[in-house]
Parts: sequence; C-alpha cells; structure tokens
Amino acid sequence: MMALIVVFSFLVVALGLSLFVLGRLGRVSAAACYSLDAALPAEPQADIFVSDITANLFSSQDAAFLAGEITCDSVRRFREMRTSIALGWVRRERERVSCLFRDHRRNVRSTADLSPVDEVKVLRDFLSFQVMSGLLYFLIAVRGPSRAARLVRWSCVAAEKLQAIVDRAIPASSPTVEVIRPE
Amino acid sequence: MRSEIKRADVEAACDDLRARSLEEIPGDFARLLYLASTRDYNTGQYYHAGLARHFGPEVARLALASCHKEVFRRVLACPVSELVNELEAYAAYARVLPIDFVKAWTRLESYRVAIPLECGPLTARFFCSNVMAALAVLHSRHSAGQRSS
Repeated sequence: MMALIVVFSFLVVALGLSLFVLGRLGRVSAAACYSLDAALPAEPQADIFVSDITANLFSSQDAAFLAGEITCDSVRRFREMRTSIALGWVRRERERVSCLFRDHRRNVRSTADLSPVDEVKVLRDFLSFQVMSGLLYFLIAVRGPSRAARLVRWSCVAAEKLQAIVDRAIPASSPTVEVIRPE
Repeated sequence: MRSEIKRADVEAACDDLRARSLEEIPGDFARLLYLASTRDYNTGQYYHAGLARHFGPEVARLALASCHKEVFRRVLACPVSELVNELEAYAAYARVLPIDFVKAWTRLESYRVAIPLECGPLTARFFCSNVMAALAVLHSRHSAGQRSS
C-alpha cells in the first residue's frame, strides 16, 4: 500500500514538473515564432470565438491537405503553429476551470447549508480535470493536436460536469464558465 | 421593452445588410473584408451610411458588428482547403492577379484587419495561421503554373 502511494506521488510530481517545463517551452517557442500576441488584447475572457476553432484545431484534415500542396518545411511550420495554439487552448481551459474552482471555494465560505457530498464531487472532478488536461497538454506537446482529439472531448466533459456540480451546489452565486465542446 | 425593440431593429438591419450588400459579394472571406472595412481603424466603431439612414447609426453599428462576428465565425470553421478557394474568389473579385495578391498579402499581412475586436490572441493566431497556410498553397499553385507556362 505504502509503495503504491509513493509511486502515485512520484507520478503526480513528475507530471507536474513536466507540465511546468513544457508550459515554459510552449510559451517561448510560440513567442519566438510569431509576435502577434503583443499586438492583441491579453484577456482570455474577451475571446468569444474559441469554441469556433476547437473542431478544426484538433482535426488532422488541414495538415493532410497541406502535405499534398506545399513544401515539407512549410507543413512542419504549420504543425508547430497548430501545436502551439492547441497548448494555448489547454492552458486557457485550465485557467478557466481553476478560476471556477477558486470562485466556488470563495462562495463556499459564505454559504451556510453546504452538501458535503457535492463538495467531495467538486474536488474529485476538479482533480480529474487537472490530471486529464495535464495528460492532454503532454500528449499535444509530444504527438500534436490531431492525436489528442478524444482526450479533448473527455476533458471538455469533465469541465462540463464540474460546472454542473458547482452550479447545483451554490446556484445563486455561481460564476459562469464557458465550456467548449468540439463538434 | 426598449432593449427588445432595439434587438428587433438590429435583426432587421442585419437582414437588410445580408440581403442588400453581403449577398452581392462572392464568398465569406470577401464579405469578412467588406465588413471589416466599414470599421473606423481609430475607434473600432462601424459605420455604414445607407444602413444608418434607414435604421439609425447605433442600430447600424450593432448590425455591422454582429454580421462581422457571424462571418468571422464561418471563416474560422472553414478548413484550409476551402479557405484557399475563398482567397482565390476574393482575388478575382478584387481584380488582382493571384500571384500579386499573394505577394502583397504575405508581406503586408493585410488579413489582420479582418479580425473583430472581440477576438482574443488565441483565435487571432489560429485565423492568421490558416490564412498564411492558404496563401502558401496559392503561392505554390501559381508559381508552379508560371513555371510551366
């Protein structure tokens, strides 16, 4: 039992560290390739079009089309760009869910009639989303966004479940989070 | 009540804009650029003289913004293969040789003006990378065509 806990803790720490390193690398490479971010507003909430890009972002259709049309070097650059955008998408989703969880924690402090079962569910779903999105980030960084389409759907479902539980737990004060579903 | 009337007015203005102006323009990409061109680059506010005369400047502004977002959504959902056709249709509509169009757009990155104000950096990067890829395809096709002729 003890050995199992040690192995699990090791895996969590390793995953956390690799996410941190990949996150830094993703940011650096994206900034090095394109300077568009500097010219645009930086608030994630302001982007109302993210749900419209999800299906295309995690599809292999565009890369397959480009492979028959342009040079290998250009296709590679396109894939790198898509990977960088997909990693940004995951970071954005993690930020949103963390924000939802933080707001929920704040609301819980001022709520008298709490259901312990719901609170355990919130914590469980928050942790499962964190693990799933961590794996998703790793998978995208290593194998590209088109290989991660299924996991994207799962993490969207996890985020949706968390949102539903939070809404049920404290309906009046619950902040809304946009849940993005790939088509 | 006031907001209800306004919403109905905006919808009527949107319908009018779609029927009178946007229908005449071939392809969503050309429509996107037309709608972006009705925006003041200094203030980000939209203006259309005909629409403002019929519905008032505020309703016209909201209708233009709404149609801009609607067309932008369609362009975002469009795969690169379709975007190539859209760019070709736009170049033909603007009466520019595709190779000149590709050169100018690659250098000036003119497509950036088409992005609505509400668009965040992530979506903007996605849009720009798709347009750059479509321009690369057009460039490859037309330079191959020039070499063979």
